[in-house]
Amino acid sequence: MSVNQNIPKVDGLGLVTGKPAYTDDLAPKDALIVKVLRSPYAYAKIKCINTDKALKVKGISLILTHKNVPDAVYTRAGQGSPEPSPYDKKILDEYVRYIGDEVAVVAGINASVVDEAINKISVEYELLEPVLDYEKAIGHSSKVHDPDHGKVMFDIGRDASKNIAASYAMEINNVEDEFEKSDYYYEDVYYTQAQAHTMSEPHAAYAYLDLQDRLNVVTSTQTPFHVRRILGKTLGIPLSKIRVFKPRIGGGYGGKQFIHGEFFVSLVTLQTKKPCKLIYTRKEVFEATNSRHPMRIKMRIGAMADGMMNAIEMKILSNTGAYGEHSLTVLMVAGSKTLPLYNKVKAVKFSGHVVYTNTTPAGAFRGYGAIQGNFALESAISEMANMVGIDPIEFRRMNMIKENETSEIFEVMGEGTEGTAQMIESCKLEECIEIVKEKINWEEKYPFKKIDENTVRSVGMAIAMQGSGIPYIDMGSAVLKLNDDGFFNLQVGATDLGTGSDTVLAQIAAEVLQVTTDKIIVYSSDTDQTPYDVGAYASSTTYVSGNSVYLTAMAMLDALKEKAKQVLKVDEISYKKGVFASGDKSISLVDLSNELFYGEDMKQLVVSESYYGKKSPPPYMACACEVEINEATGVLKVLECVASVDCGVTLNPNLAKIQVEGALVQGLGMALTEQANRGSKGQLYNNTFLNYGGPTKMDFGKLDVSFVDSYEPSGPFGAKSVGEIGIDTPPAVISNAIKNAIGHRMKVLPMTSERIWQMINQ
Amino acid sequence: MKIKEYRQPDSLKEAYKLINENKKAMLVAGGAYLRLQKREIPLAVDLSGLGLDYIIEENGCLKIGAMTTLRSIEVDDYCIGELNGVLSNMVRQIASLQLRNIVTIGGSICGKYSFSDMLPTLIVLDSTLRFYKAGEMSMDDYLEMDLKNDILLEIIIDLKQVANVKYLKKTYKEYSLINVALAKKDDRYRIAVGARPGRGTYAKLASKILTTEKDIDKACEILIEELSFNDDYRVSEDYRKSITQTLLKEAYKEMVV
Amino acid sequence: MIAITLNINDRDYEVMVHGGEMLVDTLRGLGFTSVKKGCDTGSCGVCSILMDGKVIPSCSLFTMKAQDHKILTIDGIEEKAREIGQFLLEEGVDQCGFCTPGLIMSIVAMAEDLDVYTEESIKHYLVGNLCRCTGYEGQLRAIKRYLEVS
Repeated sequence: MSVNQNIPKVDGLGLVTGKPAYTDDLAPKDALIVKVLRSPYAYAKIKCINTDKALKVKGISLILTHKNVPDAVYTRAGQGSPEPSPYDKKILDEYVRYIGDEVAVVAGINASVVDEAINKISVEYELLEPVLDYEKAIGHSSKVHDPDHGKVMFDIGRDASKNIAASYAMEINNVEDEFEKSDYYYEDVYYTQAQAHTMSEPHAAYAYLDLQDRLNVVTSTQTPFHVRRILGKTLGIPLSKIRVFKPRIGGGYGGKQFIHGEFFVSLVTLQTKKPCKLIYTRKEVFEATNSRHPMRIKMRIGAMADGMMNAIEMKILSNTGAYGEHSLTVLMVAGSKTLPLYNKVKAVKFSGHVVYTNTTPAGAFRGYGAIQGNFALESAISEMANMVGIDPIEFRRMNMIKENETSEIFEVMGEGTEGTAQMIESCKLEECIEIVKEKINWEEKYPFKKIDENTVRSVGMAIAMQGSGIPYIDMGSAVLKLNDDGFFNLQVGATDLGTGSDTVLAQIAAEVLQVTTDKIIVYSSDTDQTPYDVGAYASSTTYVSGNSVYLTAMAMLDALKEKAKQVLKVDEISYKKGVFASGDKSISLVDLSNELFYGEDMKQLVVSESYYGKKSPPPYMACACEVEINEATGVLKVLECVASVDCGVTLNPNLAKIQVEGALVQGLGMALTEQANRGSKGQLYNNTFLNYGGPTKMDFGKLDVSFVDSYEPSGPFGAKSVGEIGIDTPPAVISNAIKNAIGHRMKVLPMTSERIWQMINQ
Repeated sequence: MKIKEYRQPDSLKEAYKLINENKKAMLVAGGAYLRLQKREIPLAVDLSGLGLDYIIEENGCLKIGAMTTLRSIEVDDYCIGELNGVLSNMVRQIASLQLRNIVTIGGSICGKYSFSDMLPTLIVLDSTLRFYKAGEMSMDDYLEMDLKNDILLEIIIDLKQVANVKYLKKTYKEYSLINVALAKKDDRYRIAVGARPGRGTYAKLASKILTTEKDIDKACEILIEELSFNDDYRVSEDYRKSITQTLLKEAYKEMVV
Repeated sequence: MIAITLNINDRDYEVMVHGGEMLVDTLRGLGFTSVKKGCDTGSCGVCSILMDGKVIPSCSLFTMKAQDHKILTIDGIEEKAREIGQFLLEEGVDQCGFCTPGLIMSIVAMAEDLDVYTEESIKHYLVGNLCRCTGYEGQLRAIKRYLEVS
């Protein structure tokens, strides 16, 4: 039995004892060092750029500027083709659109000479008025992108003349009518911030030409196949001349689901014929990769006196920064992965614009819109419950989705395109809520308890959903190859970010083939050696890639049985735990494999299957926190955080638990301390670990994560996804707890001690 | 930071000579903060191995060598047991264990950092600093002047007092958004506030009020007028002022008990 | 550039270094890629190594200062690293793995340094080892089990 077992990660010991495994560990020792000169201005035109003095520095191989790189536009978003993100980025542009935007790329024999050369590049900028406030972007006199340039793959509601990168709107029935009929009406606006991923490993990429003169790019990425395609199409190189390989990477959470340094190392290697590497500094990661879309979310809810909600409207303004990667899709997920929680409303409306500003581009980040939407929705739900006078848990119970129900939203809203109708075959929200309610001791602690003159404790809770891959868009595949001695190579395109997906996929194959996991050797994320996979995002790996492995393993089992029948010369065969048997004849898997290699009728068994989802079964979760607030200082401590998750069957319970615990802490950080403040010129203040505000071990109390018994029929061995769901609830949970404690609703993230103090002193 | 020449002199005499021969030379204590600066210096003079790493008690005073690491202070018996444990308590929440194994008390003082928790603590303890050339001077005097090209040797603190430091931080590891230090020697109180964002500064008037009238509320009122508080991207002036008062009252309450 | 000798994992290495060179770069240049670089400010802990038994951030120490001291990287404690690593694996907290070599070095120092292990004291000792993947809870479970057994 492999499934539902705590199998340690297959690459675990090597990684933790420091074996070379990450991009910078593997880069050739003589690789040229590549660094980027970045714009000091939020919005400017490069009038003139002179690299003469810089080129004279001894040891400099190449300098790239907008004058000597291909002029093509593309999107950096790691998404399937055709991408739902606008093509608004050039490799190097005449315009720089945020502080940190690339101006020139320098390659040299060591960091010292490269630094010297960068300092010798002279640039004359024509300063333009930057758009820094996303609430003022639409109709701003300054346009972040020339409306005549750039293109879209299909209509995503882009209008660069208004600084709009994408738009979307949908309505089911009529919300205004329903609001009219409602006994209670709630309306308010919520704000979320540009959270940064702060993964341990800064972005890194290196490139070299192999013996066949092909471009090889080794990069810390979540989407190797998309990288290959984007590089090839943009540089005009046949994809057959490019290989992209992902080694071990030090975390992503969406932050590596886009092109970072790959173009630069590719161009340097192609032109110099030498290997080269670009390793980002932490400052560059903060300022010049991507972060979460800040959003302004307007919530409107109408409900009847009995507590049943009539209608919900969610209206969003999202800030995609200087370039539009993931703009439409994150916007849509803010609604599509939150609103279906309350499927009993008579009408629902979702709409929004995504605007350009001259700030760090926003992109994919765990939750992908759902955490922003959840913050607004679950806060508004509690407000409405309060208005109607019903306990917030009861209110949710009455209105939330249950097993064997559906929501019309599934059909209408996909991720960038239309959606896919689906019946919810597994949903244990009821049980999840019951468990957290009990564990946090809700009855006793709700709404609050005064501890002393300045201290109050309270509880808050929220529920959430996510998805499992994108139906009809996310495809994964696997190849299984039988070896002599009865073990298998499992080749998957699926991208292990450190989550342990290599291990989980091995478990699936091992379960089907009834062998121990160590008989499945996994190799992943190499565009030459592994079959296609969209990559690690949209919580697709367990469900989509997992299903492809399941199908492949089943196909291998069939092929093995056929061969066993031939070898034993029988018509029927059965298989159990490594032995093929028919009557009194039998042959072990090990012997069969050796027979196939060295016996009479030799054959190398290799099978491959692909899978794409026909639905996206949501994992569900309930979470509750107990907090303690010092009313004199506004300081909030999270005493305890309890979460109960329904992700179907947990293929690897330990790894699933760590996914949720890790996500919860990221959510708590977004709720309480993580800030991306900017100055009046658009400069990012919070750009180091000294001041960003990521939670440390000492910053929160106990976490209690558990999983309910659940089974998703369409998932591999009953599994759904678990990668993102954990992050969605903490902001709403904390806002609800604060409301319960001090009677004020916090609507702006992060809910810092100063903001709480301001609320109390109003 | 780019350094042309890195020297590790064998004696204080040699170290002093080096930094006075080349006015652009810089002293290196732990080096952890120094290396963050984007500069090119012609000469770095390392003070390791010059016997400046010690904590001793002498004549009722604590003497700490300038090159003593924060970690050494954190675990030292005197720093834990004396002065109400303020030295150990104050350093143990600074940055991380890793950095505290490198960062020195001397580097923390001479950097005159605005976020420093060390400065207000040493101010209220009315510490004496001993320099190689300039000799002994009070912490207060040192902060007033711009002493150049000298070497801090040791910090001297009278053990017959108690002190308390309070601070507000966003997360455990980050710098204080505001810090308040309070010390009591015999019947005399000293108050200092740092990270305002201005660096640790002695509040003379407020300290006097607290000493003579024992009126904490009045001292708080004077305090926020006496010292300058400002907004920065972290927190606002108003918040700093409010927290300062809350923290001072807390520190005072604990000391009186 | 100046020639110096460093004692790393009980062996002497002759290296040419710049005046302003930081130890992490020297170590990685010598092939000790187990010592990672994660930030610019000495804040994340992935570069943690032991110098004379004390855990230090190698990104914040001038290489010149490392002369005449004993440097220990995880490569020099293979067996112990595997032992501690096994506990981490069993909790599933070897996620992306980038923070882990530095964490293990810190655990090794902590096991020598601390007399009393409470959750609080463990968390405080290791607060400088940032991890974005695991949420710390699982690491604490693994470390407590390791300390109990050892």
